[in-house]
Amino acid sequence: MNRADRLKAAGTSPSAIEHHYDLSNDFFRLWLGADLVYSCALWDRADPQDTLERAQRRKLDLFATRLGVSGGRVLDVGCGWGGLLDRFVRGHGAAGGVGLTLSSAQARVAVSREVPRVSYQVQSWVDHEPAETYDAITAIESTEHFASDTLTADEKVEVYRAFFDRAASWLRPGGRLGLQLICLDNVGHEGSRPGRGPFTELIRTDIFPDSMSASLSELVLGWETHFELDEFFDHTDHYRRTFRAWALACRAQEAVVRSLVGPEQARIFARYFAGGEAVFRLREQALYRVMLTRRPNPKTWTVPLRPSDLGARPAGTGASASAIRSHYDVSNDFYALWLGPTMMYSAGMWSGRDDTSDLDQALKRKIDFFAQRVLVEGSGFVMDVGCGWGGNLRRLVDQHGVDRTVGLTLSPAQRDFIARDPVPRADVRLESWSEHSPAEPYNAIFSYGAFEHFARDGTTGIERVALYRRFFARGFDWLAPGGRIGLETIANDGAPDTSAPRGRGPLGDFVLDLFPESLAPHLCEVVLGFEPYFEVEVLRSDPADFARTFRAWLIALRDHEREATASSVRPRLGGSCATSPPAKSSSAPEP
Amino acid sequence: MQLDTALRQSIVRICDVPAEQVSEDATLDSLGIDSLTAAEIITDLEIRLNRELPMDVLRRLGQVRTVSQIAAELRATLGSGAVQL
Repeated sequence: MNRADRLKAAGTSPSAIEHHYDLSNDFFRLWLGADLVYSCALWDRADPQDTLERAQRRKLDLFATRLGVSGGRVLDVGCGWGGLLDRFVRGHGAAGGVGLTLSSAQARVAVSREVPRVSYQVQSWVDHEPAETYDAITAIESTEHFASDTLTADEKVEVYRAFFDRAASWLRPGGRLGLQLICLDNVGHEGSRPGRGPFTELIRTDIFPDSMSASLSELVLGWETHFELDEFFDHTDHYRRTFRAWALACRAQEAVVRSLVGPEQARIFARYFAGGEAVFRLREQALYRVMLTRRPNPKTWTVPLRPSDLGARPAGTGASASAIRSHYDVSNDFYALWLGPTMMYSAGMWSGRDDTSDLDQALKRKIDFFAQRVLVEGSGFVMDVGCGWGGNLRRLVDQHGVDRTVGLTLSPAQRDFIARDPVPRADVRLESWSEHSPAEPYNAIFSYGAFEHFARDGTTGIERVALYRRFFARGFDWLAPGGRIGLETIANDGAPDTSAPRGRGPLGDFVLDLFPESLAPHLCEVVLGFEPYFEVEVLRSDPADFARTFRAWLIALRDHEREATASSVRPRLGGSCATSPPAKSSSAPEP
Repeated sequence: MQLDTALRQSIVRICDVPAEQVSEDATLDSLGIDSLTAAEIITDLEIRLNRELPMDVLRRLGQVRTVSQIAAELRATLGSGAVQL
């Protein structure tokens, strides 16, 4: 078999696709509705009267607007009965496009919509060779058909890498990719398979043969080479309502359903709807919506990560206490000159370019954003890993009803700073997370801008994942059931993966001089780190916010240039900061 | 609607068995109720009662053996005031 044949054999076969999707168009129309959109909808949570039809259109509109399809050519991989391209062209001014499906019955319905400048092909993505590039690509719950349940996790990742590789080649530079993904979340993974209960068996034998959901990390490993993350939505709760709507529609027309597909199929679908609702309610599976942009150049990997590489390996350590002190113990007075009153040494959060908030307001908004999503009811007992000068803990206690806190830092200067103006009921410890052992469980954990110190420069991706997993395993053990963790980190987004960051250019070397023994992670490494222990609820990429934060620091430092150089600041740090160019991006310190 | 009546109707519908087979001491095994069937019964019950049952019911159903135990689990849940429409 050549590569294309192997890739096609890895996914759902055309006959298995037809087994499900060619059952009866009239049957599907009965419960999917006239638009024939067969995937999770986007419901208005505030409106109990919301309808499936409106919720499906809202979903399509979300992808159309976030991908910016107006005037663009769109490829829809796994186009179903053509509802998405219909909406994109007629409702959002897309210039046209192509839909791919393996079901000829679906293609016939799609063609009958007569959407201008849209064509449909009964074709696998493996064989797709477009005559011209696309501005956007969508894959709405179709990656589940790319890799069958017989593949190992490594083999699945290979298939996803091949898909994202091809998708990048079909897109113009800067083109965007919208994904809707059913991911394995809380199922016990045997390799990458969910536990084989009666629902899985039903899906495997009767509903979607040769199909398999991925874990989020497998997909990130697939896309990260070619795509950067723009937006990520956890919409797991929307599938529950979607399955219920499908079940109710079938139930309301039981006799018609039986006459269309027979009593046995009617029974199978009823079980599928109830089981589907249950697995999303129990969060055994998750529904994510992800918007990606094609990178200008693909990222290169020294050691491409494979799931099977991530066994028990010696993990090493993070940055040493002396390396931490070399940066953070320079001078509290110096940091106060440009960090401002919050003394927060991490990114602010703005609502966009037009937001005129100053850095102080933007940092408070960031703390509030995390607090609203991370603090469980009652707030209780909270820890901050890498608590800096205590800005986060102070606001959590003052503004968010947090009762008691523990802060960890490796910087005596930071500890002394907090000691002079103590945060109420805070226990600030000069201690590494790896040595920490809480007296009682925490309700929440925060960590801003410390993760970059958890693995040293010179480590490989495999070693970093082992370290990050150790951190998240500790966090899991420290938390009470239902506890949450909020994490902010710089990520090596556009930068190549290399175990030797020195020599990657003057900016890379400079960052390593500033932060010895430290290295920002890649997104896949973070996801691989938390996935065994935590469900993801919010994932954001805000490089523009960090660029703006750096600019604010630079301006503040220039305003205080004389005090900065006159104080007890080491010349290297003060001098370099004052003359270095402003950071262009938080996520890519290397050129 | 009475909870016990609704539960019985749900089991009859989902398991496709005669009502007289759904006695209080009937075991889930004898009715062919596995975890997927239990999920179906809960969904059906929610539709009948027009109210939402908390998910721990679904989790705990793995540990119960008889119809009367399901009913007891549900009554405990409904009585606790934790049920939201």
